[in-house]
Amino acid sequence: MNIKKLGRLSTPYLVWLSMLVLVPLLMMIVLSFFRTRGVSFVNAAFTLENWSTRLIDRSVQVALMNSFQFAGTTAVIVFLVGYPMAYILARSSFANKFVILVLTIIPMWSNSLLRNNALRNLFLSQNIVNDLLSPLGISFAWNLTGTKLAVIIGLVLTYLPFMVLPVYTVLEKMDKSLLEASMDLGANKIRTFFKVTFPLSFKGVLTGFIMVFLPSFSGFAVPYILGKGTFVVVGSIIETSYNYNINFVSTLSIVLVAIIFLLIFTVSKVDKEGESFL
Amino acid sequence: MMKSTFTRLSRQLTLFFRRPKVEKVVKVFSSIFKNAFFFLMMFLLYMPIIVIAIQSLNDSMNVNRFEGWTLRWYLEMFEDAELMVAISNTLVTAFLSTLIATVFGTMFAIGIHSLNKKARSRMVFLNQIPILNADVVTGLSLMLIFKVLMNVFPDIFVPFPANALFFRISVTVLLAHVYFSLPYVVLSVLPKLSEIDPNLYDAALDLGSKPFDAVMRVIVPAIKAGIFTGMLMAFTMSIDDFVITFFTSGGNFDNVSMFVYGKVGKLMTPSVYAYNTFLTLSVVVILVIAYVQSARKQKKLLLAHSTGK
Amino acid sequence: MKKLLVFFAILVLPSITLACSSVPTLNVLNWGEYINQDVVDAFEEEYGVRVRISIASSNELMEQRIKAGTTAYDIVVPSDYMIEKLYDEGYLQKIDLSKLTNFDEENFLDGVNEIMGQLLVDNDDVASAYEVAIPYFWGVFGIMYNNAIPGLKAYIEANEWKAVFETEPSGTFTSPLRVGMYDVPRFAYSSSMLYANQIGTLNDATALNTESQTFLQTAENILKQRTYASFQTDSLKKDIELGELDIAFTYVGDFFDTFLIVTEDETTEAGAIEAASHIGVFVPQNTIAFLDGMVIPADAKNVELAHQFIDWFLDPDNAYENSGIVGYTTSLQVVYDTIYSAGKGDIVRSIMVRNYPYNPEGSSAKPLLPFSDNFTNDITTMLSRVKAN
Repeated sequence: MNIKKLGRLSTPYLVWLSMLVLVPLLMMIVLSFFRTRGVSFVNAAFTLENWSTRLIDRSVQVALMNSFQFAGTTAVIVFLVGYPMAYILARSSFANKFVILVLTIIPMWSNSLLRNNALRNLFLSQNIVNDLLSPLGISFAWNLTGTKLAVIIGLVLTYLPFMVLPVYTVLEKMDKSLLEASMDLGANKIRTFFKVTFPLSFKGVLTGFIMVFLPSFSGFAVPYILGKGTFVVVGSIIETSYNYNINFVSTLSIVLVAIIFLLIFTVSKVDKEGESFL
Repeated sequence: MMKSTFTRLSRQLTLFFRRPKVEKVVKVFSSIFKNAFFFLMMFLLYMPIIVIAIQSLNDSMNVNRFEGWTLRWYLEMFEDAELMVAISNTLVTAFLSTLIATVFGTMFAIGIHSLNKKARSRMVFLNQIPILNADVVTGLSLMLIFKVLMNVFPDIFVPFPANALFFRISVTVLLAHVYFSLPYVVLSVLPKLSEIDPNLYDAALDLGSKPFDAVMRVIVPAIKAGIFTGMLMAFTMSIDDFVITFFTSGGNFDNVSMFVYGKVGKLMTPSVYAYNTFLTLSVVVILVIAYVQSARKQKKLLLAHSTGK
Repeated sequence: MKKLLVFFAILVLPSITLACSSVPTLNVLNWGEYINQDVVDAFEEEYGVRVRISIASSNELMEQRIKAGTTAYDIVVPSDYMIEKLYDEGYLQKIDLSKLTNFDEENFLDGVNEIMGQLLVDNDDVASAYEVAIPYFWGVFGIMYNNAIPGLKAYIEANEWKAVFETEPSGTFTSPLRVGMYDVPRFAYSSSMLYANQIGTLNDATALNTESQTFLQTAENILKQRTYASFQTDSLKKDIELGELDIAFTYVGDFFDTFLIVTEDETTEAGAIEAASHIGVFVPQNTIAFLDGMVIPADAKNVELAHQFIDWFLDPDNAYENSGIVGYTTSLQVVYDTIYSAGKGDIVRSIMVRNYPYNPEGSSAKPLLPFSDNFTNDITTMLSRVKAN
């Protein structure tokens, strides 16, 4: 009985979230059906162009494709690198694994613009690391800035911790006796991994995947800085248009939110026990 | 024919790898390989940070040419008023929003946990949206709401105290940071709540404790790890934020990200790199100390066990 | 818990004491690195006030900040067409010229007077554009290039805009030229109109200021003629200096900013020329002119102080110091003369003025005029399509 009373503690949060999540969403839905001057509806004209002609425009098509490419590639690479990292850490015998985990987050405390610009400058032919290493005979002139590869490297380095964290948490909590049981039943290490460990950690992987995919998809800074502004992504259309066409920007925002809802829905179908973070 | 050869080969391989000496060699190699891989990845993660550190020691404002070692940017950091103000804004916002988000987030998480399944899943669903939404969308949404609120609170965007240089707070930016930090706290605390014994709270009440005391003395200590993780996440998201602060700041409240944004491309003082390196170094040092302490503890425990104490 | 409270007290107390010292604060919205902080500090000391400078990296951003109304700026420094647009829409107030002791229309370079004469002509309540904006820095757009590539200078001088918009014939240079375009849709559109006029596909000198869907399509076709290595703003000049880009369409002032940086440690004429030998700038016959001016928004809180600030920068000594940091062309005649003749002993700066197109007077450069929001949006979409190619 008393526990139920505690439930009331969450009501203010419900109000807060409803106001700050649902209200803007409604505003954006309304805005997407008009052509307004900024946010004011003076002289506003009802129009369906934001959902038809503007959405099919070639720039939007290419933007969606680029965003998808960047986000998908990044998520896959982050998985291939981040899962082993989390696995190694979880099975290691470090004295304080938590500290090491936090160490993976610390780069995120550095300003992302500084980090991305540092990478951008590092990938130019003329850079300070090259200046330092060339007296030693080592050359560090990759000339990558402006390429899709540079953008992906930037995205991977930025979002790697987002995969390591959830996967590590899941692996750490995993019941070790299950692994022992599997080995006792005759499976070797590799089989145990694929048939026991990985499936049990799948929810962490899913969480990590989504937390890497979504920001990479909608981000603007990394492709702009590392790609020298030559790649159009969904984020860049929003960034450059919100001043003069908040209506179409609202449309794109709704599309992004729809993608999120879709992902959450898919995850909830896959994970009926509610064990993943979504 | 092919299949039996394959199975015979694989069985022979498995038997080969199970021989004690081979197993030992494999173990050593795989251990080296694993550690090497892990540290290589950590190094790559820190690569941009290292470059920033080099830039902070470069005796030149040119980020592309190395012209000598110097520590002057660390000293000049304090002479750049604009940078100091931006740093103050960033840190004040980060500390305050983390504090508010942690306190309220824990409270809300306890509340959510106590709801029935349907209501709980609804709340969890809503909770995920700020995390998963693109920053541009969140920034725009909040800006829209704040502009509407400006009709009721005309000074909502004005940082206060208005004429002060340091330790200013911007209500809109603070609210925005609390908005995107709360879900992370809730996300970290909820799982821990499901791990504790649900009867503890009722037991405390039965023993005559008031509800607030029961929460503080029974529930909170048990979920300390979750609260700490949530606090860490909230701080991380706040200290580096650019897009959301950009949209919700009235224009007179720059944080470090916006300061960098305005200056990148132009002549930016390398003192920013000094600040960044200093921040990272301090935290890493604290972590290293914590790690060494844990290592010592672990050694002590092992010794105690082995001597049978 | 206690530690937190103590921490809080430490946070709050200083802000209370600072708040008690209510020193008037002037809010300025300016471009990045577009003012000499020493001159600002001197102003703060002289008048016992504080100046807070916020940065916007484009006219459109300045417009958005002013219109958002979330901060009341006292001084903003937009470009010509944005000044006109903001005044038309009622966001600016007139400047009381009687309060500016250093103001005299004759003090400005002829080129400045020319541009000012083309601003705000359709506004009946404005007798002269000087009532709304006081010129700060001005100049033209041009082509900045990597002078380390043999033959590039001659190629650009011969081809003007074609060098930017057309892929060079294969074999002209050892490797394909890497060209950078300024990432502001407005500039991309207007410059492609200039190119169209140069090669004869268009015969309309006002095309760069005309809102036309046909011209928009032409601009798109022109911009799609080649692949650009970079669409950025401030990074263009830096990349040219690094040798990462070969040609860039930029403000000519960007070249001079870079010049000041590379010649920072030089004291002799020969040394300066040598240090800047790897960069070059060319101003095509037909180009875009721009003028940035100080304006006072309608909702400014410190109007009196704003006037004093403008007056401060009209003082020749202060303006000269200001020009030491900002490479863009000064608007005051006497400052120009001082730099030219190395009047204060700065030989390097005088080279900048003598050897390079610092003063664009006499060129047939046209300033930009405001476009409607709808057309600006169309241009933005057009540029995205170009990048998508």
